[in-house]
Amino acid sequence: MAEPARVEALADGVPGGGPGPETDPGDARDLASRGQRSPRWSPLTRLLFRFTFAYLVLYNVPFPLEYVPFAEKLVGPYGELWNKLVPWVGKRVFGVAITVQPNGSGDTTWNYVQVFCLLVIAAAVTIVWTLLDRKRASYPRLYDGLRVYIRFALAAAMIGYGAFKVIQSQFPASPFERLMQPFGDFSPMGILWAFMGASASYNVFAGLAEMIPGLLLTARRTALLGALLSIAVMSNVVMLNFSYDVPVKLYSCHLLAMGLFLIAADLRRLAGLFLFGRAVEPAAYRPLWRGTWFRHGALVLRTVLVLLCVGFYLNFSYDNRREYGDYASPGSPLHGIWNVEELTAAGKVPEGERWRRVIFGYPGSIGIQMSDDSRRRYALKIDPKAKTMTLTRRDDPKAKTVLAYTHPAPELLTLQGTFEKRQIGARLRRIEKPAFLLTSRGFHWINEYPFTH
Amino acid sequence: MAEPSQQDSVRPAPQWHPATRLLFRFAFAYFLLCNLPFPLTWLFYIPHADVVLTPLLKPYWAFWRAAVPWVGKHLFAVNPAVRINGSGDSTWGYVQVFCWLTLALAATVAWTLLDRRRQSYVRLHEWLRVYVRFALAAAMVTYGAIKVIKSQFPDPALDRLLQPLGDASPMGLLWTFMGASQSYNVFSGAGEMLGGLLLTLRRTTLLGALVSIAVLGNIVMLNFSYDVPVKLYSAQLLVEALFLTLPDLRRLGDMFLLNRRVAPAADRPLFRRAGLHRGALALRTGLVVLFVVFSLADAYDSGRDAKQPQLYGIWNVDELTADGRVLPPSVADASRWRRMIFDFPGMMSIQTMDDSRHRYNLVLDPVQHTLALTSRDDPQWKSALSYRQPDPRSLTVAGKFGDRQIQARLHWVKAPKFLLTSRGFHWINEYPFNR
Repeated sequence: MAEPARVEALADGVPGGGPGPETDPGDARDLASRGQRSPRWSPLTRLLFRFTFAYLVLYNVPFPLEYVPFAEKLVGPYGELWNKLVPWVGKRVFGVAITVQPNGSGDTTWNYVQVFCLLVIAAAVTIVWTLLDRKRASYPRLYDGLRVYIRFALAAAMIGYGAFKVIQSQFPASPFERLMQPFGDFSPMGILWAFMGASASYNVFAGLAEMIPGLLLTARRTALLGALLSIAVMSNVVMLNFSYDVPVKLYSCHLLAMGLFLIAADLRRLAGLFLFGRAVEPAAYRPLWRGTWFRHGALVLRTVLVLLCVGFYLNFSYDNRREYGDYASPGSPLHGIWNVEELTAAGKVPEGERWRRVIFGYPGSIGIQMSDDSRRRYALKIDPKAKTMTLTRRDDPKAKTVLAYTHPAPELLTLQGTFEKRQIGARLRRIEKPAFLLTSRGFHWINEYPFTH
Repeated sequence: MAEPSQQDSVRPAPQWHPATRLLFRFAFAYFLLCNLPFPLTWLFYIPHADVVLTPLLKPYWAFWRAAVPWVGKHLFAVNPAVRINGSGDSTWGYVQVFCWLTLALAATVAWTLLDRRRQSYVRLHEWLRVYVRFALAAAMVTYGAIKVIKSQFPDPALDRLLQPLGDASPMGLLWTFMGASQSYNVFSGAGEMLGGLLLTLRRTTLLGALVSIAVLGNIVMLNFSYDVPVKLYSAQLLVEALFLTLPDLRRLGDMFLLNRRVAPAADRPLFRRAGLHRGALALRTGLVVLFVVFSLADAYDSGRDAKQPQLYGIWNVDELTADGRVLPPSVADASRWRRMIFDFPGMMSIQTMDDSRHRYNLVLDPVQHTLALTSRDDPQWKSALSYRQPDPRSLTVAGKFGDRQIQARLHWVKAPKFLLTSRGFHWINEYPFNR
């Protein structure tokens, strides 16, 4: 990269190419520190670079401010700006009313419109920049700077996602409701969550496979390896998201694209190593900082920040798991699976709408399994003094059902009240120590036959 | 191999460390033992090859059929009766690995004593690499093909779709998860086939080995985490892929960790004669192409949808009488049938009121109107039932089931539109649809 004559655009237009064989790294460093003449990029490469620069910076901003204490004063208004712009563009350009902001889903209409805005702004920036900066032959230092920014943005995402898995807070073990749910009743995303939640060891593996590339990205020397491993892992994640209806398609594609962007400069060297078995020269690099003190300072700062980032995410995941993930622990005295022994109802209950089981699993929620295997889930509030429980529909907070209950013995429960416009009474018996094959099967070195139950 | 090559005469054979030589001898013996009779087993797809191959392989198979039970009995006091089924982690499998290790160790000792003067095994190493490369490639291509065609993980069956998550085994869950997506199967299979095909080219062997390590690392972890009894075999494949990267470890370290100049890959041609080299190249290309086509065709044949069996569908049990007593449909009664499910020929499932699924092998005689059931787990267990179908949507079943005299009245219900199989693809999700 350091030697002007050797630098050329690769087929895909991304600036790159290795240094000539006669350049050794020391030489490259000298040239760099003396501020040698910039290499000449083709006009198309320059154009593409400007666009890539604008788009990737826009997409990742305000990173890393969200990690900096007291910087939320800047992050907040920036987010507000988008919350105004995106609905406006949605309405004016696409004629859609955007009411839902990004939530657990990153593939909302809001997100697609935002990506459209980013593309338009990046294109505008590219045009203005091209007009104003016509004489510039190339942007080697800016390219280096962008690579550093993208490296750390990608690393933070990989470390964060990795930590969620290593601690198993992203995919907690399935609670009772899930374990009682027939496979056909799962959504594709639900089955992926249940699948991942079923194995602690696979979560640790999948998490390390994200954290290690993230950490490798933070050191300049191992950044290429980190980017390649990130590409391998993210390809799998992207395919899972597309195949199992997981609404993180846009974000995971961006992370994958960032990984690809990071290896673009080394494609020639990689081909030399993997396809042609040639000798490969080391990558030349221009230190970002000229002064030794700057360089040392940056190194110390980076190390501290990376450690902080790892610690923060592990701690965050751990808290998250403790708060939401540990469904297995009995939260209330009613926690468990209750078989409906007797159901009395006014009038005739249609086939399929009789209660089969009542499940108290997630804290603050109740699930009712009907005779056709469909599930009704409600938010639950128990008033132990009045001996009532209030069930609230999730899609309609105003639809409330109040049932009176008695709990004469630990394994017995009766419910009485008006449920879906019908007077009902139910006698329930708790399943003693429910045993699930999925959670109790355990590890086996020897299997005389496959155990595909 | 033993004769001095031109290369050897130009460049003296390198001096290997004694430990390296020892390890090489062991690796050579072990990889050969655990892969034999490769490549003979993989040639069966050549038309009429079985005429030659079967008699050739007979003594080999006979040897292991005698050796493994003998070793199991005399050394471990176990009877590895179960030999070949879907499980590769049977007692048989472990005893055979023990045999391979012991034989490889014995071969190493003998070889070391007989061949003390030898400095290195450069050419033998090259030949071993060729053997391991193609053995690994064949496995990767085969496993890839059955995923690309989606015959390894078929769409979840009716009885599975009605089974609650908690009643599945970890392996059952993995199978259902994989079976739920066509595109993810194609992706996984393509990853395996890509690794395998890169291994068949000498130049891209390193890349193929690295891709294989990534793919197999994941598979080994899945097998250990989800109780899939292919632990031994997948671990063996992973070790083979690691073995293939060994000569290039320094180049990889220079490239990815130290940012030093990477030396060119060593070029050690297998054949000195150009004609021989070209012939081998043509043979390899022909065999690889044939093998890929065969694997895909074979996976396609086994993955094709079987015919719908008689009585196909879900039958709800309206009434069940056991020994003359009517069993009420109490949700707590694990012995009361809830549904009978017929999805594939030769199989039948009964779902009991506690929702657990019980699978049986089935022989249905449409003339005598009988269902002969055998248990998939207990070879002693049998049941002979008679059935009547007064109209297409009604069924009665009677006979001895377990130790009870059963009479059941059932009616056919339309399979519901399962969310898992009908959700489809969505570019936009305003909320995550995690049900």
